[in-house]
Amino acid sequence: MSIDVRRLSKHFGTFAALDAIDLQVASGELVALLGPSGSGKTTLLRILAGLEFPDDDGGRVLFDSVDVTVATPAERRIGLVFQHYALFNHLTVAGNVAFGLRMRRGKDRVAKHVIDERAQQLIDLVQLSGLEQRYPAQLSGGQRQRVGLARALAIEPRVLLLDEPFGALDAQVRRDLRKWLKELHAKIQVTSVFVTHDQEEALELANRVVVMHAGRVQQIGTPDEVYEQPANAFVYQFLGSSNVLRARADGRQVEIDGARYPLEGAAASGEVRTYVRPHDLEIVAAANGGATFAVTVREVQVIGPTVRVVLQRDNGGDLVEAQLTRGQLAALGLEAGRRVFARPRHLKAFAPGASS
Amino acid sequence: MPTRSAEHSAGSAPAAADPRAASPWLGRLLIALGLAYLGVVLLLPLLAIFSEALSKGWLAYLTAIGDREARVAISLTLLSAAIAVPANLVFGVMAAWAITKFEFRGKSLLLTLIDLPFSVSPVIGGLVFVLLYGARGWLGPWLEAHDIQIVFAKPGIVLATIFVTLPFVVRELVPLMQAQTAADEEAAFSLGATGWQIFRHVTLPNVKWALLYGVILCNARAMGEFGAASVVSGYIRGSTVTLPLHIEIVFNDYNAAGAFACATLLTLTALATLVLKTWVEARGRGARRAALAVGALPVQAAPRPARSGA
Repeated sequence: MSIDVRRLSKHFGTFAALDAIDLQVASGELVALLGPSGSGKTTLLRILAGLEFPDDDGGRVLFDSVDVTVATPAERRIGLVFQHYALFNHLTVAGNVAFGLRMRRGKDRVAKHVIDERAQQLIDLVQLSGLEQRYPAQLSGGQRQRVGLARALAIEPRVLLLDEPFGALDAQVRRDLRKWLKELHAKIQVTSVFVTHDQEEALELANRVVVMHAGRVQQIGTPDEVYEQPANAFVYQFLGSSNVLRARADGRQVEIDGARYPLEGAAASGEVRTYVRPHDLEIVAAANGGATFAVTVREVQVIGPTVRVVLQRDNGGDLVEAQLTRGQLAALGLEAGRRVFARPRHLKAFAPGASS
Repeated sequence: MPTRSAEHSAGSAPAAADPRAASPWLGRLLIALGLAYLGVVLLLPLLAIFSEALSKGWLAYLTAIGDREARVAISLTLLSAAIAVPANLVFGVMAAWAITKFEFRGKSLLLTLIDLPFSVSPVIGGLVFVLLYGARGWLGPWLEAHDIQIVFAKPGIVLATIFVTLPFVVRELVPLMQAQTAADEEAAFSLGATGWQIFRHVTLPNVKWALLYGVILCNARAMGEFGAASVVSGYIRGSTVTLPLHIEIVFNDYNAAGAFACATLLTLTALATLVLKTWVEARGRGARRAALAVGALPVQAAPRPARSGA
């Protein structure tokens, strides 16, 4: 089942939650809608689900080339998974999973033994066998979300929509469930769209990532593409930690405190903001003429296997952050107040106006 | 409080930390005052009802509650409760649904109107019905022309009872339904449930304890209604007299024992209501706690489902 979103807008009063969104999802894809809160990602998902409707200005949602813009969720045949599970607390696990099929009436009515069989298959699929007669209150968060998933899949949806599916879970459960969902998707291959504000989740799980901000799509691409070739400063900064270094640009070269570096991204001239990721900022003990600039160590913080070092540029006073391994820290013997030198491995610039 | 001072001498907490320990007499005095108040205002009257009712012996007691007028009064009270409670149940659920799940103009006005029976004296409620449906009321001539009698007849009693008990169910449901998000309903909708199915299988189970609680309160009020009923009743003996009105009549006939005998019936329904209410509250709290226990991990040795009878 492919999804085609065309020039979709949605206003709440005067607030533009979505501004002329275009998006194509191919059959069997697992796509992440990634953005900060207020970026419109959940609104877009709810419009795909049929719980919300777009502005009446020609915006369209097509499923397999059929216009479903005003269709109900049931007509679209979507499965929906909620951040806070939205399980029916008065029903058992089995009752929750069977709910969608049990509600079918008239010619769509499903025989009881078929419902039971199908519910059991799904409970097995989400690895909750043995817990059929439990109530949601007796399950852990991760188990509840798997019930939510089984319940959504029971109606054999053409599209699976997940709204921050791991948002209410703690870090360890989150990672396990993420891995598990990726395997499940590989097995059942249903076209899926999930909303998240966690870039790690999006990069790990999705075939393609849609980065959203302020009601607009900033970039669509594979996890590699959006991370390695961000379309603008917003995407760059949202997808990981970053430093801003003010520099003088001259076409494809920039100069920082006398050192010259090749510039990636857009060509620029004059005063520019260039960007470097903390793990691309190398620290050396001695100056290397023309390739390093002078900094003073302000703070050293060990976080598990990695080390975060806050540096201040001698010239200009900007604070930047570098990420080292414990080994590098020991070799350099860094401590607050020490004067060292920094060398960026990659420097990126973005054309002005491309970001928002 | 010897245990408290024992704790303190054991050195577990600084003595000055607990203000109650500073003046134990004040605490005892306040507790005694509270108990005395309860005794005078609640407990003594309750005992008085039963002792007065039985003051002339069991035979007089049984005669008083078994006489024809008393039986008619009991059945009229049961009849008006049997009509008023279901009527306000249906209305209450519909109103709470509309108020909490939809946005519309005049919503706050509707909420205020629903509270009206709580804020005006029931006597005024009764008078309004006389003014509307009485012989010289606004609709009086039309009703007379069609040979319909409302005031000073059973329909008036039922109407008055419905009026005074109207807010109970709505008032119980609205706060709970406001606290619940629409996610459960959206989930059911996404699974293909129709509006009625969503209501029947999702919304109603989510509010059933609050609903039952509202119904119990509504019923208690319906059975005990006096003010509005006394205005619209007309006191036609053996016809438009409810149990509370019957008690008044018997009492005014200088038959205190008979009046109290009938009063025990109302008192017993009230006590039964209290027991039911306490039970429902406990069940409802347990169910709500379970529903809100997001992230709890009773995975291994989970107890039996708390609500297996659901």
